[in-house]
Amino acid sequence: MFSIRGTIIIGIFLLGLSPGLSYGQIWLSKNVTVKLFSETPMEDIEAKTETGVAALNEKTAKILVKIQIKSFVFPRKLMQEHFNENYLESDKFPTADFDGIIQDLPNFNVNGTSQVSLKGTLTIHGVKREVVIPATIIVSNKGVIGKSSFKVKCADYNIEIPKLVVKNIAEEIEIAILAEFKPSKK
Amino acid sequence: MNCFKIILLSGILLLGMRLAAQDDELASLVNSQTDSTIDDKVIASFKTTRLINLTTIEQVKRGELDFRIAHRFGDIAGSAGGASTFFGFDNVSDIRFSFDYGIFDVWQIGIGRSKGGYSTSQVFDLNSKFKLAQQKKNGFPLAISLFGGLTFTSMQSSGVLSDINNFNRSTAHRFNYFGQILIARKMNDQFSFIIAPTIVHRNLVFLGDNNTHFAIAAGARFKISKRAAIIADYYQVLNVSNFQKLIGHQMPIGLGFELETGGHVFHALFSTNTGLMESQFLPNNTAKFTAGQVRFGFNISRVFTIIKDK
Repeated sequence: MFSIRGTIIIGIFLLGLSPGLSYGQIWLSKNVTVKLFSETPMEDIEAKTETGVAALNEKTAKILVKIQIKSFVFPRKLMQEHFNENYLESDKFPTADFDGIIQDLPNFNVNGTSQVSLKGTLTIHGVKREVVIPATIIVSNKGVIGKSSFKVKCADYNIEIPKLVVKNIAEEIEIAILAEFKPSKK
Repeated sequence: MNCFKIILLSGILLLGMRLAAQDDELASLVNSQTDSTIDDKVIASFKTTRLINLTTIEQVKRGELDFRIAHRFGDIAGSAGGASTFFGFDNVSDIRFSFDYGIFDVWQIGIGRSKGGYSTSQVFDLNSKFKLAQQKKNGFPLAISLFGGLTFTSMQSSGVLSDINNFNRSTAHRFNYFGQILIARKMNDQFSFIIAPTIVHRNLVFLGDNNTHFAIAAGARFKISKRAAIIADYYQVLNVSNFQKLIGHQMPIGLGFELETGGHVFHALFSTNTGLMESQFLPNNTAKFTAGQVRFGFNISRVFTIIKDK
């Protein structure tokens, strides 16, 4: 009664049921580093956080990144407070998020460097925008590293710069991201 | 055969659900790995380290120097005000320069010099503020700091025995002390308030006056835009002395407008009292808000970064 086809069908059914089986490894980065640069002739401002979190699904190429606004450290504390209070309004909008797909995701079993692009939704200051971000993925024996640098226009995300400091804060902020992914243990 | 089809379909369905579920797992994984303590910290309850008369729970951060100028003119109305003094602008009744430095994020020290009011002038002060508790979104609901200091007057001793500024008997009479427990809560991103049990001790007082005064101070800030706020504070002296009753002691009141412009914080304010130190205005104020004995003034704060954080 159990033909080959029947066996396969039941096999698929069991596969669907089996709880422990993985259909694509999930990779996690707990210490995503993000640097912000604002460069004007008057003043260069740099801020950094090392506590971002990113997770990606190797199978579906889906990636999520979450950065807490309050985790950014500025060399001047007053700037840090202004960044939270006046510009990013971190009480109302505590995180910056990316939710998207990595296009042309390389095979994580083969070492090498590849250029990819991330397509999805970038949410900053509560404003969601569809973006395509270029990135580099480096696969080595140690793990997978994702790197990206891109620019964000303050005005695109309703981040107002008052006239008084318009010479001190760039209209476009440069963002550099580095994430070291390790296989997530479930 | 139908039996197989059903099994096949449900198998594919389950597989599909599992793949979709994995993307949900991605979100819950990211959320579970995000350090929730970072966002938990309540910051910027007040814009600066002082309201009008009252100190706030805000600290000068480590490696930063807060240079402040506080300025008060004369009475706008009342017996000493009116058109003849151009509503008090002719009289610079008070001025204080101060430097506050953050040794750690939770500990600052300060030094100041004020013109002084009432019968004591040429006032130097030393003060210190220490943060005891941090307000948390999902934890401790209050911010608590200790603030205290001393004032010293360098004015010449009058030599008249009954005078309050006769320091011939002891140099200790030049010193006054003040201490406060600052208890504050940021209710939301617009409104913060502060309550401060206060003690002031003066080594030399008039006959019938108390050396030690207890008071409760209250203050608040209400933001009207990202960079502007309404601020107010009030002191209630708890043990008013017979001497104070005699001179017509009044509780110090301040009301002001706060504006922040990048590096500076300005306060344009109205207050009753002259004297900018707790040990001066708290026991000595006789200016009455309702009698028009209100003066215009301003505070300016500029923070300089001495040591930059890496």
